[in-house]
Amino acid sequence: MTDHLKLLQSSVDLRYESPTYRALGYSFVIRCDDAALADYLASLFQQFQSRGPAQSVYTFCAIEDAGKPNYLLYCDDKMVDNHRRPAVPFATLLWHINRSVVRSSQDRVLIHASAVARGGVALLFPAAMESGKTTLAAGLVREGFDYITDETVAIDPMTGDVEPFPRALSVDEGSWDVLAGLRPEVPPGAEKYVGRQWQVPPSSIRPGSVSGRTYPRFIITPSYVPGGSTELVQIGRAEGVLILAEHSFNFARHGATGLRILAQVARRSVCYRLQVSDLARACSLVQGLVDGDLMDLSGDGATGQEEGSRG
Amino acid sequence: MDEVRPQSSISGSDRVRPRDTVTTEVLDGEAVLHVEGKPGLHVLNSTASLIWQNLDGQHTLNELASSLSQLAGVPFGTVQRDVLDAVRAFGDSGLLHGIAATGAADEPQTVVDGTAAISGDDLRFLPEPPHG
Repeated sequence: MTDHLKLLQSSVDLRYESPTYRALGYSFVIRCDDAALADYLASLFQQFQSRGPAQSVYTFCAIEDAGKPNYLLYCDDKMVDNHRRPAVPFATLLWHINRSVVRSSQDRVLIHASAVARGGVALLFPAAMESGKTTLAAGLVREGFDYITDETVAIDPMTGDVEPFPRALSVDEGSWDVLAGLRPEVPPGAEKYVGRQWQVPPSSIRPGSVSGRTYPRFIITPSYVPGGSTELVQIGRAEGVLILAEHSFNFARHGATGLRILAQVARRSVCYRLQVSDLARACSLVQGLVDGDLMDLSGDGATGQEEGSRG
Repeated sequence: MDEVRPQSSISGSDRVRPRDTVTTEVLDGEAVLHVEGKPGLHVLNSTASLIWQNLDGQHTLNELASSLSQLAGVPFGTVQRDVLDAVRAFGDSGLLHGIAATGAADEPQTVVDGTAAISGDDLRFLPEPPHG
């Protein structure tokens, strides 16, 4: 432990300590000196509550510096950030946890994608940043789908199943209007930690909305096109594999095994491109796909695979 | 050590086979290829995939073209030209045993249909640190 952190711990009352949280392959504890912050963190991370020792301990606190508070963030004994505005190190905390989850979960094949589930099957939405992944997932969870993640899909290499990483949905300002009803409630006193993104706990969209492990059935790559049409176009499974690999955090690490896993996922999936201009219409198209597929699986004769046109 | 020669020297009398380091997955007739240690993926359309899957190192390319010609009911000359074009493209992309790739070693080459560059950077999709 650094001298600075020792000194800090002797001068700051870090009375609030979270339980151990575990997200995919990463476990952590957060200590802080502010009850409101502790409440806020608990609301964001409750779905990761676990037991046992943690890999990392975060320390978030304020110290007086030249008569004004300065907010400090440590991960173990390393200072990660410090700033006069508490929203800045708070955003860094969320960023650091997210990055650490990815780094600590390399045994899974990780895809930059959001995902939801319904009827026991997962829908993966791999896409680049700013493509509307989070907005689409939020819209679908609002419509009754279960939540898996808004950023990182983790595929178990042994089974091909998706392991949920249901972090709070990070909703950018551009989507606040279409998701207005999801504006998160922040505990009194914690408003100062709120930055430029809404952090929406999945339970606040719908209690019990977090999915368990599921197997993928749909690979749908969204793109947001303001003012354009909203349409779903079926693509081939080989292209689906290419899209998954292109958006994988660690495909290069898994190599040939990674290709086999992604091919396994694609073989039991139907693949689409989804151009989104209107969120409600996009959710309706996706819902129609899944409903048709579930009817098909239950033997009612509908063919979900024929909903879109072949691209 | 095996002789390594340029893809331009490939002719109908050659017997060629994939490199041992190439993994192939076929989905709905289209093939996705990965070369061990390389960052890219290659996607072959159904025709190229059919040619690729029949490169066994035992039969000549002319024999392969003859079989495909009979199978598809297309003149031998046409099929032979398509086979040679495809196989030379495979060679160009470093997919064939004993054939030197002509492209940059770490960049996926256009084969027949599509390619994707796969970065080795685990964290490239994550946003920059807020205060970094």
